[in-house]
Formats: sequence, C-alpha cells, structure tokens
Amino acid sequence: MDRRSLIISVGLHVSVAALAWIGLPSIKRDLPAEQPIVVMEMVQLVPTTNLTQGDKPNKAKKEQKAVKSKKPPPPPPPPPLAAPRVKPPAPKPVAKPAPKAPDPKAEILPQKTTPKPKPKPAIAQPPAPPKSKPKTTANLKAPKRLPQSPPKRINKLARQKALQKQREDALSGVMQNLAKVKAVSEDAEKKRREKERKEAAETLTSNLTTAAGNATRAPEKPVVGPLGLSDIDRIRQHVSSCWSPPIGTAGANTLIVDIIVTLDRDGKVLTAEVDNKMRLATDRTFRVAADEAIRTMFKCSPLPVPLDKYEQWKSFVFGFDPKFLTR
Amino acid sequence: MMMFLRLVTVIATCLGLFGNIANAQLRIDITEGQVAPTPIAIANFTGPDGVVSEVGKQIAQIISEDLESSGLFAPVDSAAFIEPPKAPSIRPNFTNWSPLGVKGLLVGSAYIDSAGMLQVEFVLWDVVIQRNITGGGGNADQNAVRRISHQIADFVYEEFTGDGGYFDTRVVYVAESGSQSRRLKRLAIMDQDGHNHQFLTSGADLVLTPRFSPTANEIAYLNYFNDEPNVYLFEIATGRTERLGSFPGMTFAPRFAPSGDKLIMSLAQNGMIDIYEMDMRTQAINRLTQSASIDTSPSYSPDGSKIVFNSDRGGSQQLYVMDADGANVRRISFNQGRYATPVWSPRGDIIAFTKMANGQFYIGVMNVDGSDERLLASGFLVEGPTWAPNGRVLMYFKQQPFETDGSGGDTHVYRIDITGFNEKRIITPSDASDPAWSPILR
Repeated sequence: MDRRSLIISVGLHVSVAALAWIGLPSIKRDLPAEQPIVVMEMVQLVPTTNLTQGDKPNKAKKEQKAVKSKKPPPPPPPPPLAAPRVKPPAPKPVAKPAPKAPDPKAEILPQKTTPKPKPKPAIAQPPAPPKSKPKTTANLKAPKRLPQSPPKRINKLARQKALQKQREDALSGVMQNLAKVKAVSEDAEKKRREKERKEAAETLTSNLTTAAGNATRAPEKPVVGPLGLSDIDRIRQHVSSCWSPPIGTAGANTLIVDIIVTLDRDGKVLTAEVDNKMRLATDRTFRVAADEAIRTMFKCSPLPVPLDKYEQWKSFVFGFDPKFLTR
Repeated sequence: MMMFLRLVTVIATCLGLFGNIANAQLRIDITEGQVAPTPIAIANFTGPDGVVSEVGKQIAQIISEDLESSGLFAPVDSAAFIEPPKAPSIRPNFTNWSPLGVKGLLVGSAYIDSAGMLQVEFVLWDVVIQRNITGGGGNADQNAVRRISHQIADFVYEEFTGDGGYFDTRVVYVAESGSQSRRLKRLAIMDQDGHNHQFLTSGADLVLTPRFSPTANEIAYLNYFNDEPNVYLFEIATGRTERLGSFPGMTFAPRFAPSGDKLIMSLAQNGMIDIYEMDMRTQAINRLTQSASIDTSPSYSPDGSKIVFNSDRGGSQQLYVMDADGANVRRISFNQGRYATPVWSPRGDIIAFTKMANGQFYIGVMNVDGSDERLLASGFLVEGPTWAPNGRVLMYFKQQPFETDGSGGDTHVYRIDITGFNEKRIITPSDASDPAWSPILR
C-alpha cells in the first residue's frame, strides 16, 4: 500500500511538474511579450481617453491573454515592438503624428458608415482593449517599469520572434500577407475605433434601444460619476436655497412631497408635477406644501445640471422632506 | 470562451438597461430650506372704474399689516410695483411681477355702492406658477372694512401656509390700572391686532380668567363680588351678563368644553381643590378628580375626549392628562421645574404651559405625551398662554419686575409663533393680563 501510494504520489508530482514546465514558460513568454507592446501604444492613447482607463484595464488583461493565445498571426506585433524598444523615451512624438494620419483612413473605413456600428465596436473592443489596457496602466507606471523591463523584453521577445517565425512558416503566405496588412493599419484602426466609440456613445445615450451599446460604453461616460457628490450636492444646494419649508405647520414631518421634474437641455424646468396627486384632493396642508415645492422648482429654474449629460438629468424626482423642522 | 464573452455581453446589456431605468427615476431629497417670510404683493384694490379706491387702499393696508405681523409674509412696498393695480377680473402680466421676487399677488376691487354697502372682490395669483390660487367676494356694512380685510388676509394666509388664518379673531383680556394696592381689573376685548378696543366691565368688581365660548359669542369669567367668586357669562353682542353659579371657597379658571355645553373648572371644597365640570343648562356640577392634592387649570382636548391639568399629587406641580370622565390619569411632564396653566392646542398636537424653573418663568409647548418640550418665551413673569384658533400662535402676558420704589411691574400681552420666532407685543390702552383668544369669528 505504501509503495503504491508513494508511486502514485511521485507520479502525480512528476506530472504536475511536467505540466508546469511545459505550461509556465508560455505564460511567462506571453506576459513579457505584452508588456512592451503596452508601453508603446500607451503613448498614443493617453491624450484621447482618460475615462476609459479605470474601466478597461481589468477586462483588457484577461482578454489580452485569450486573444493572444488564439491569435498567433499577430505578426504585426513585430513592427510596433521595434519602435518602442528603440525609442522608449520618445513615445510622444510618435504618438502625435500617428493620430493625425489615421483620421482620414478612419473615415474611409466602411464600418463606420453602417447603421449598426455600435454593437460592432462593442464586440470588436475586446481584441483592441488588450492593447489599450497595457497602455493605460503603463502610463501610470511607466517611469518605474521602463528601465527594468528592457533587458528582459529583449530576451523574451527574441524567443517570441523565433517561435512566431516558426509558426508563421507553418502558416500560408496568404495569411501572412493579411497579418502584415493588419499590422500596418493597426494604429489607424485603433484610432478609428476610438472615434467610433465616442460617436457611438453619443448616439447611443440618446437611444434606449441601443442599450447594449450603452452598457459597453458606460465606462467612458460614467453614469454614477455625474450623479455623485459634486453634481447632486450642487443641485441640492441650489434647490434648497429656493425652498421655504412648511415651518410650524401641523404634521410637517409627514408633508414629504415628491415632484417629478422634466428639464430642457439648458436645465430649465419644463414641467413640475406632484407624484402623489391623490393626496392633493384630501389634504390641504399637503396641497400647500406641494404648491410650494412646485414654486421652488420653477423659481430655481434653470438648475445647475451638467449640460453634457442631459440624458441623465432630463427627468428626475425631487423629494422635499421637511422632517428636519420637527426638531 | 465565446460563451463567456456572450454572457458578459448579456450582463453588460442588462446593466445598461437598468442603468437607464435608474436614471429615469433619479431622486434628490431636499432636506433643508430657507426659513424666510414669503414675499407677496398686495395691490391696492380698485374701484368699479378700475382706479384705486380709497377704501381699496385701506383694505390693502390692513391685509398687508396682518400678513406682515404674522412673521410669515413680507409684503412688498407698493412703490416698487412695475404695473399699476388692475381689476381682479384682468389677468396680471406676470412678467411685471416676477422681477419683484414675490410668490403671490393679491388684487381686488372694493367700493361703496349706492346702497351704502361695501362691495369687495379679490383674486390671489401665484406669480411663480402663474395661476389663480383663490378668489372671492361679497358685501358687508361699510363699517366692516377691517373685518373684511382680516378675512381676506386669512384666505391668503391659508393658501400659503396650509393652516387656517387667525386675523379675523378677537382677544378678551383683563385690563389693569391703578396702583398695586388698589388694582382695578376690567374685562376688555379687542381685535387680535389691538384695534377696536372695548371695555366690557366697569371695574367695580375684580374679574379674572376670561375665556371665550366655542362660538365666540360668550365669555365665561370669574367675578369676585363681596370677595365671593362667581362664574359669570358675558354675552358679547348684547352686553348681558349671567351668573352661572356661586361657589364658596376658591374657584379657578372656568373654561368651556369644545361642545360648548359644559364648563370645566377647579373648586376648593372640603379642604381639597379638585376639578369639576358644570352642565351649562342645568348648572349641575360633577367632580372629576378626587385626590388630596391641588388640581387646577383644566383644559379640554379639541375633541373633548381628554383633559389636561396641573397637580401636585406627585410632590411637585406637574402636568397630567386624563379622560374627560376623570379616568386614566397619567403624568406627562417629568422635567425639572413646576408646570402650570396647560392649554391644549386647537390642532390637538401639542400642549402649551407655563413653567417655573431656576427663578424664571417660561412659556413652552410639549407633545401631548409630554415629549419634545420647547420653551418659547421667558421672563420675570410670563404666564397664561392662549392659542390662536389655528394652533400655531400663542398669546400670553408678561410682567416686568418691580423696582424697589414700587414702580415697574408693567404688564403687557404678547404673542409668539410656536417656532419661537416673531414675538410681538399687542398694544393696549393700559396694562393687560390673562388674554384669551377667540375662535374664528363667524
């Protein structure tokens, strides 16, 4: 029994070690190989999207691994890799010229003209993010990582190139050509995609039917952010300055009035209606409190809402709660 | 992997949808506001020709004074008006009124017709929402200008506060004059703003604790004739007095039941001071408390089901509440100091009282269960709170301390909002004490 268990144990350990020996190298190779790419591309993306930084990194890393493992064709990586390695400190100059050139190309692309570009960019993003993520993260940590990574990258990249060349040999020439073409236009495509995303976000936010597009775009225009402390507090303070609560009125703590407000794009109050209309007919003090709440809304018009986020503010509820008066 | 990506996409889509729904229901709670008088424009009332009439000016002036005295309104000076007053039938041009920052605009017409009657019409506009809030009209004797004005002021007050008005009310009180050793005390009555003052008794007898009947047509009070307390009823319209009963020993503070068919008071009998009720029709009395303590100052709840009074049965003078039949007595005041003269608010939500603590007198209010005590006024001697019919304004009297040479001791009637703001003295011809606020006049 002891020998069997020992043999089994040894066998399992050996198998685990073998798997680790076979699997780990590839994992290690992929990671370093991606880092340099990240550094180079980051420079290009920095000026365009700061908001996306926090949202894409997590997904991008996971997607990167998957995409890279599935896409051996990435022969394109070589060209970008060469540039970053040679000129790590001069990413900015490279980035600036690049964005301008791709613009015209981006416009030519047929994808944008199609009526359903929104879902496409969302689906297409996964592959792109892997490159953009490292960029964002690299920006934040660039100064520390850059000096350390260069030597390792060269070794690992060299290995990668060798492996990739071997793989490319196995691939058909047609595939290689396609890959090269993609590599050349990669930067342009990225920029196009970024523009497409922005355009799509603007249109998508105004159309509920494109909820899927909104969902993927939400990170770039944070929904929670605008409704956070700054905007809400500003509006609350503004409205509070216009409101005369029902001080001294009997049962003031029960006179909580909800006013449904709609605004135009300038923040001007278009309509202000009481939510609980049933109580208006039966409770005189509530009616007076409701009238005052409605007056408050019109008196405070226009409201200091973020005009660029109209879709998020065009209709909402103000709850006038005078409980604080009871004590 | 594809399945995973699809799943992620579906979840993201759902989040996006829910996010949009959440946006549509976005809510902001306003829990603070600006406590300030409501700015309002009271235009001079016009005559039948559309020109401001003399009586129209008078009415607008009285309404403005009423609203401003409440502390809840800030009438705008008519000199600031951009647009001259127009007839109530004409819709105002709100662009000429909104720059004044007013929330309301009162316009009206008033004139004396060929029959000598005062014809009045008015409309209250919401300048912010730009709609008609309320309006009315009628006719009255031309000597009733002040009453008509008070009634219109009540309409305005009600529409902007939610509480009933109190301007068309009267106050009865004890007018005091003479030296402290030979003090002359007479019943007097006046409008809530001090106008139309009138003495009701000559001063030959000592009078105390006048109280209005629920109809405001009669006044019950104590009259000491030959040092014997008698409960009298004074009919305001005719000036006729009726003695309801004579009770040997001390008698205190008769007060009407909300139904008007009973009086409640405290009587000293057999060495004990307890609370009794008296049937107004049969004059039969019924004892409600039976303790060896001193129970005084009873006051009914608005629905007549409860009675609040003060008693020293617990060792110190505190407030107690019991059922109208004397059952279920329970103490409601537990703070330091002594409590007296409790009066149940017409709204039924709070009880006003006089408190003595730390060498000071206070006028305060507390919830009917004794919680949430708030002291509104204080002084050397402040006493005798009485409620305005809307239950949000209190009147009481305040006496200044005497000087060493015997001077001083001035006694005046004040009123204050239950928020503790807007304490104002009511101007009277002489010293005044023990006020009682009438219900709304009918």
